[in-house]
Amino acid sequence: MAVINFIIENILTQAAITIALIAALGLILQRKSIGTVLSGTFKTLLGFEVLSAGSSIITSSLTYFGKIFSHGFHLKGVVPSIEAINGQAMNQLGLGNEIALTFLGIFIVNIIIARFSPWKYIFLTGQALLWMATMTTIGGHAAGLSGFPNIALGSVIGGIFAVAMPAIAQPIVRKITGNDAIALGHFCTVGYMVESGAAWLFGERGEKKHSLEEMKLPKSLEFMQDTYLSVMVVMVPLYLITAAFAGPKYGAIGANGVNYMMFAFLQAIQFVVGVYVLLAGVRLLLGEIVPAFRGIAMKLVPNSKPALDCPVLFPYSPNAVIVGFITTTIGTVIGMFFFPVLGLAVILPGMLTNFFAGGTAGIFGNAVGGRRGAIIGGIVHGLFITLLPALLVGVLTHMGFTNASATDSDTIVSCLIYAWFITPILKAV
Amino acid sequence: MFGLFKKKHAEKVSPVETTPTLSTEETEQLKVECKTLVGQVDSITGDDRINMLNHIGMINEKLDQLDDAIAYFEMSLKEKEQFGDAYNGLLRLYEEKRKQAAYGKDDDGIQKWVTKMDDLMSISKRVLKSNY
Repeated sequence: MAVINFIIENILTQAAITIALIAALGLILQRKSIGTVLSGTFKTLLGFEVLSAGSSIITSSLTYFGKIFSHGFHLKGVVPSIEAINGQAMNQLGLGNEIALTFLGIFIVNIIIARFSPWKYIFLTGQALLWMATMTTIGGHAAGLSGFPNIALGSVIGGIFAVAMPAIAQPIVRKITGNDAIALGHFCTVGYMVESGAAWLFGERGEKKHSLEEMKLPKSLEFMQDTYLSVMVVMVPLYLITAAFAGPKYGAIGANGVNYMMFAFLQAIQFVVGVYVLLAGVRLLLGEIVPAFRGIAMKLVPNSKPALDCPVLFPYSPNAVIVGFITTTIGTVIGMFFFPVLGLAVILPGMLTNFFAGGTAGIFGNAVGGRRGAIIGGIVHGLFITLLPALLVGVLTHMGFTNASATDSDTIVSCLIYAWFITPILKAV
Repeated sequence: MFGLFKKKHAEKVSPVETTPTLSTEETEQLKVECKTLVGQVDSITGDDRINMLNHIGMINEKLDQLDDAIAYFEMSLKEKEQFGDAYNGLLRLYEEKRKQAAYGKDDDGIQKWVTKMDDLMSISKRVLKSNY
């Protein structure tokens, strides 16, 4: 009995072990050799630890940023970063175990829905599923759930999103790709539909509709060629300007004699390093689990429609990606100044989301409303993806998150469903 | 029970999507064209070669020779990473092959084709970023 208790209390409560065991289960179900199972399990364990290290780096940088922002502008400045939210939830808030099991649960619910319903979508973007598991677990916790009920509800909600979002996007995806072979598996679909709606309202129609692909765009976005460089291009000025406003007294907190502007610069770099390490950990963590489980899913639902990550659409409309990125960024900058007027937190523009979600949204806007649709729709999309994390800040601050909010509109919507609907229902029961 | 198992059996035999059927004459014509182009392609360079590789890929796809089509499209994309016929063709064909592997319960096949689709996503990001 003592041994069982020891295993339950000291081993199975460790998120790293849980997620490694999930990987082992996937590999065993695939009848892999003992060597492959062992190496896959340990790689997953290693991935979790690398993710934790990245999370610590990001949190320390964000804590500094939060302090200088509040002293510099007397406002709450929030960096939208789903990576930071995932890292903090998994480590600092101790939700890693539940997130890992919800991640597995979402996979299972997705397979069940695809197997027994007419919606045959299998969501193949592992990283997005991890973000969804993170946000449903956070939402459940905010609603007062924990343990099995939280995992079960999160799995069902996440599993429904995994099928519903590709299904909702599919009519426009068909229009973009010209066929029905593949679907879009990216949890920013609510944002894409908002952009499509705006493009339909304000865009071009009929013979007046001109695609962005008929235009020639200048080649002047070299900094976008490197993902981390693009994050740095935004974070460095952001930290430096904020430190300048905060002044040497607050800007030098924890600097150990280093000039406060130099220290702010180094902290901005630390943020980028944190994202780099955390994402390397995520890749290592999912490297074994995702192939194992998607193999199982494809075998159980052979006639499935794979929902793939957003770059699958880039080739069909490359100009729209760039226009979508630029217009979404403009929208996020407007939102950064506008929403605090309404009493919401200052949400700083997140370049990774602006590029991938904004770019894909641009493709949707262009397909629905041509050039004008993509441009106006992009700005509306930028405002929308700034509003969502701002609405979520209250829930996250209450739970103890440090100066960060989520990105990826669908994951935020799932968390808001908990905050706005499930929590009141649970309280009323 | 509830007709679920009947449906399962029906699904097992359902064929994978195939290309529209060609007449014997059309097939022969395409085979001759393909053979001619394959004979010429090694002597051509630059964009003309890429276009020809893509064309051979498309003919093979029409002839339902999926492996050959994939080989030519892959050759084209390897020599010049760009958006266009080779990329779109490979996305279609990898998914077709993935389906065939799934119906055949071939684990390694499923992994192989899904991994190739992942590689296409990486190429997509690379090409887009290199364009600007």
